[in-house]
Amino acid sequence: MIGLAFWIETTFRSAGGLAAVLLPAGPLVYLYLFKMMSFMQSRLGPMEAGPAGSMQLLAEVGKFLQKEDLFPAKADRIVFAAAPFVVLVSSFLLVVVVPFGPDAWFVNLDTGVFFAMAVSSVSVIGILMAGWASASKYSMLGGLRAAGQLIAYELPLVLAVMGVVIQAGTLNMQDIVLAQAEGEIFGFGGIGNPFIITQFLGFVIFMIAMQAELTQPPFDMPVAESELVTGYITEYSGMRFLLFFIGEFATAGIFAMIASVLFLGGWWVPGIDPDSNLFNILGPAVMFAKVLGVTFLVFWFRITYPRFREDQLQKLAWKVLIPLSLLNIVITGILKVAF
Amino acid sequence: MTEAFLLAQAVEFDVASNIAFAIISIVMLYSAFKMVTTGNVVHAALYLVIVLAASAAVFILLGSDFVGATQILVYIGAIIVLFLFGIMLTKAQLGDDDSVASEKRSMGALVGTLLFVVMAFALVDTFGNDEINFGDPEPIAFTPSTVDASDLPTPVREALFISADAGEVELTQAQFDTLEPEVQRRVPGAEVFGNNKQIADAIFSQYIIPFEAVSVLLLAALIGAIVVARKE
Repeated sequence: MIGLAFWIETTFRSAGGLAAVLLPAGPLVYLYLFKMMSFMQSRLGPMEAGPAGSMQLLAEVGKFLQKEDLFPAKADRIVFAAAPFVVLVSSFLLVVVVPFGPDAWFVNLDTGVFFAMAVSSVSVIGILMAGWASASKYSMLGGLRAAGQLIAYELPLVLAVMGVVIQAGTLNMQDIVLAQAEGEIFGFGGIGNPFIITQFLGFVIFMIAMQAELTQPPFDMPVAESELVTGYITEYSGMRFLLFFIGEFATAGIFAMIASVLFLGGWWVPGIDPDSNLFNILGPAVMFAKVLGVTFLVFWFRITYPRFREDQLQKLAWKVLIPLSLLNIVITGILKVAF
Repeated sequence: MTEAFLLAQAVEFDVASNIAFAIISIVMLYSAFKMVTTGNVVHAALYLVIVLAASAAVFILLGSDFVGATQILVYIGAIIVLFLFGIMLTKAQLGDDDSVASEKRSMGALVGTLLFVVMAFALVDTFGNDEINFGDPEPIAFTPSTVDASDLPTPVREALFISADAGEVELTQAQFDTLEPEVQRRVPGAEVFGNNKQIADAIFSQYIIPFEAVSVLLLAALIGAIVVARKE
């Protein structure tokens, strides 16, 4: 590997981080929110801007940039203005530990997954800030609902990851990818050992908890438009609304990256040596393909199912998902010691 | 005694780390001051977020990312969120709240100063002569073993000039020592004694009884809270 000066490397990694957060968000919105949702509802979706409406997103961004940046009269201006950035910073901190190839990583932390789970909880603060500072009852209720939901689903999310960590024997995201690439299923190493096979229960729990953490329907009580207008986003307009919107889909992309690292083998594809330099180029593309696969599931559920009630949501987390994920940890632990 | 306060005593004077530490501490001190002087409860909680985030940053700066991440997960992700939750459910008026600790300020300042003197003295007295090493490489233990060459990861084979079809090869300590740390950790039989491992070893062997006692205590507090809050 070529040795670069520290600041050049840092600049590259920062630019890469920006790209990794913002680039997947656009295709996700266009492919799934505009097109897939339309087809599932027997309509065409945007068709006018560009071929098959592919430039629609640019038109939307342009529209939001032109809009006035409104502040409610009684709002706490500084907290109100800062809230969307806190949510976005949480997404940027998340992407820091995701590896995209043998040498293509931002920071190779030994506590990778744990760090990701820790910083993912920062976004709750931003949402509570937005809800409180808007000086509106709808926003306040939305913020409180969001906080209650995110706290409840953080536990199954973290516990589902524990199974993978026990099986891989490490918290380091890069080592988790390598453990899957070098793993074997009953002596057969042809496709490695993607943890979705052995940790299928963990994967299912992780996906449900992720859906709730992203506040995507059927877990969208915080923004429930039929009850709360749009919850904590109600008073936001223009650029700041756009930031919340980008944050929502960027975080979906990053959670999908984490899911594909933990359960689908990350940047690795079967048939190529994981130490091959090829993966520094191919890795990001492989990751993007896996992200599209994982987010397809997220948006499929988003479009298919109606919203939960608040009590059903809490019951699902505390009475079903958490006991199941604890069971998963116990079984994984026993099997780890036995084999 | 005076130089005990300076990080310059560290063997390698790390400029970048010291500058980062200075920036973090200034932000932290300012937010801590604003936290106790602001007139709005929600603002105070948000300033506390900055203080705790800065202390997590200091832990990460010292190469202890596990403690830093725990700080974020436990304090920012859970405790502050519950604080904000509680404040917003009860009284969370916008603007200044005059009833917030107006006459108790001098008392608070006195307690704060005393606490600062005691803790500063204790810390300087105990750790004043210790040296801080930023970014020490993690020790990697190795037990010499015989492995099949095809099981070795490619970087290890390349560095040691072993071909994939060499069959059984014996890895020696001398060979292991020639490898880069990044490659060393990939060798079968190598064990990284990083921060995580040291913390885990300490908690689950030396401090196992206090650790379990704390978890039972927390469980008791949890059940107590439910009993107090639920009136049949």
